[in-house]
Amino acid sequence: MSRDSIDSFPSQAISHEECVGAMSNLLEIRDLHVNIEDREIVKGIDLVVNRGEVHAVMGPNGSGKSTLASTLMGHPFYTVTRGQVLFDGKDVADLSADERAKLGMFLAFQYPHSVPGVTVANFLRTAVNSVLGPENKMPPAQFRALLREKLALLKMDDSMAGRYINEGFSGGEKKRAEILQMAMLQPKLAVMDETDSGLDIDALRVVADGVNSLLGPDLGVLLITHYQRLLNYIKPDFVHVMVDGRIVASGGPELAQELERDGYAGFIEKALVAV
Amino acid sequence: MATETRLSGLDRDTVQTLSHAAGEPDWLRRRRLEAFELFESLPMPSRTDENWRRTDLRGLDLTGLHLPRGGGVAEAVSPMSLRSDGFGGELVMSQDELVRADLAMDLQEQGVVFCSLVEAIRRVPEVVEPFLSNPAVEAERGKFEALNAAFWGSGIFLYVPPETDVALPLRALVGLASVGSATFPRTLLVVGDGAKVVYGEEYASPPLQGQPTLSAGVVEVHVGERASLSMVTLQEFLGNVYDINTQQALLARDSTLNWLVVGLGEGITKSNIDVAMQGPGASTQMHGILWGYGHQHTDYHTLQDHQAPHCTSDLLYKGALIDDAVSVFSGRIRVAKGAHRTDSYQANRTVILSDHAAAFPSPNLEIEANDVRCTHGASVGRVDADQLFYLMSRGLSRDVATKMIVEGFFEEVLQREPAESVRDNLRDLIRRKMEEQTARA
Repeated sequence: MSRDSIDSFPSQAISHEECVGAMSNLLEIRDLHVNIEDREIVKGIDLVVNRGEVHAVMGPNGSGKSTLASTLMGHPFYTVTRGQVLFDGKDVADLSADERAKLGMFLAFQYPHSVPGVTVANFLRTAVNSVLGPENKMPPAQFRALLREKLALLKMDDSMAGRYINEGFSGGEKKRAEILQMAMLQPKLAVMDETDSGLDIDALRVVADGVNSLLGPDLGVLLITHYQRLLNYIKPDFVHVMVDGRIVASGGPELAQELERDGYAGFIEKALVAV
Repeated sequence: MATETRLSGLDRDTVQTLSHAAGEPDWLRRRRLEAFELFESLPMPSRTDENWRRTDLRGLDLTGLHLPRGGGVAEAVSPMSLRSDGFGGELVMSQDELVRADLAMDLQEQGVVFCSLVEAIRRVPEVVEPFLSNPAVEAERGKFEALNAAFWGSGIFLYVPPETDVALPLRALVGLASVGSATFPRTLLVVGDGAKVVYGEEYASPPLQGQPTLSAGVVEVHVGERASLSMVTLQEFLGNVYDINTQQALLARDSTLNWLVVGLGEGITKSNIDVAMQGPGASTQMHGILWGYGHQHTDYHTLQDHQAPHCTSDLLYKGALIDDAVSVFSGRIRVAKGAHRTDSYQANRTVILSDHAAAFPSPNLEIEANDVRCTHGASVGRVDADQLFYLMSRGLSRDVATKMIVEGFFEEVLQREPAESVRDNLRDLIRRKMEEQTARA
């Protein structure tokens, strides 16, 4: 029915398209439901992240946070059964992970995978040029300079560039390498999945400094975390509490303080009552 | 020689004609004729033979092949895949004929000989004859070994005198050019006691489509006491080429052989690669990289032959297969009675990149000594989905990400190659080869 009405008013449809291009939210998640095999993990999430905003999604283990993160990036193991993910107003449902990356989406992995035999430099050169596209390839000298600059930013030794991706990296090195990749690719949206896990306080500070240096009016960030600790270093504008596949509370930074003080128990109870 | 002589085929007269034309000594001609008789008496291998179980030769009609000799050589050599800078000597063969042989002057002065085998018989008979009259690969070994012994052409010969360190790598190129031809490459390498050399051998052809073309090669390698040979064998035959070869290395006391076999061709390959450790303390590293595509069928039979005590062998063959490619790996470790303190390792790993590609590894051990350590393992698997997602999440297409994972997978083998220039060369070559494949797919 609604389709008929759009067809009968083509001019209106076009103006709507223009409107989307100019004013759309960076990331808009609408009633998202996600299954792993036959089990529903994400049970209806609505969330909007705009440019320049830092959102934290906090929740206990098993709440579906990581599933949300992987789904946003298009991991093939997860099936979207209902709802939409819009990036810059565009529905990304049919896009593979590489196509999402080219649009400017980035996922910092909770458990970054190692790829033996492939150096960080080789990988990043290929990745940067993939994202820039064939017409805008970065000259090798410029790439090397950029890589050195970002390595320094993350207090990583130059020799890191010659190591194999995440192979034999310590927990801290892996997380720093994720931020290095983010710094090199300069995404519009960074989804950071438990970036603080497994980090000691010094490593956490380096990683947070790295992320903070990348913040700006064009970057939207979705921090996914169990603990409030990370939020001492990266200040969120908005905090959402996720329990059992749903966002059960949203607020400002004070919500994180509340969680730190009282834990998730109260929210879990509320969620159960709601069901 | 402007015109090509089309010999009547693989018959006794052809053996006679070729031998006379080369001005060979009578004893060699007799050996060729004996080998020919053996060839005729042996049945064509069939899939009921254990060693040929997975390789079908019914598409190869030996009677339909011709031997192109005399003419058309210069343009016949295929484009060279490896860069030619940084080599101390280079020998080029088209089919069975020598195109040219170059060797740096200082190496010549050191007594290194790098020329055709036919020329070596004239120049250094005292060195060559013992190896020819008592070959490491006897004609009796099989139908195709006998065929080679009867018909081999110019041949390749490398001799490194004792205690000579050849600073720059040497290489030989063998190019096939003629559809429906039969070529019989034969290499004899003699590395003297305490000598050291890096040698590469590349077999290549432009796409030879249509009726089958045959290369039936033999490679014999003698590594002297304490000597060290690092060798790369690269094959890139394109089109409908059958490459059936037997390569045998004999290692004397405390010698070292590092041997990398790279398969990039697209026809049917059957390769017997045997390393016999005959002297105590010998060691070998046998490495393989196979990139299988199209209808490629590659069948490697390797043998780590421990005949003496205190020897070590370490084999790592890796393959990646797309399209309809099939690989067979039959790796054997044999430890003779008395070869105690043997340390032998064997691994074959294959990544399958398409639904129709298949790999058949079969390791086996034959141990007749005590106090030995032998391990082997084989795996066939797909590219890890999480690795793939990880790379793709950084903007790499599925295809580029897959290639990158495969390159990394091969890198472990390349890292075992001691010569950096060879390593870099091969890395580039394999990358180009893999890219070429996508473009066509």
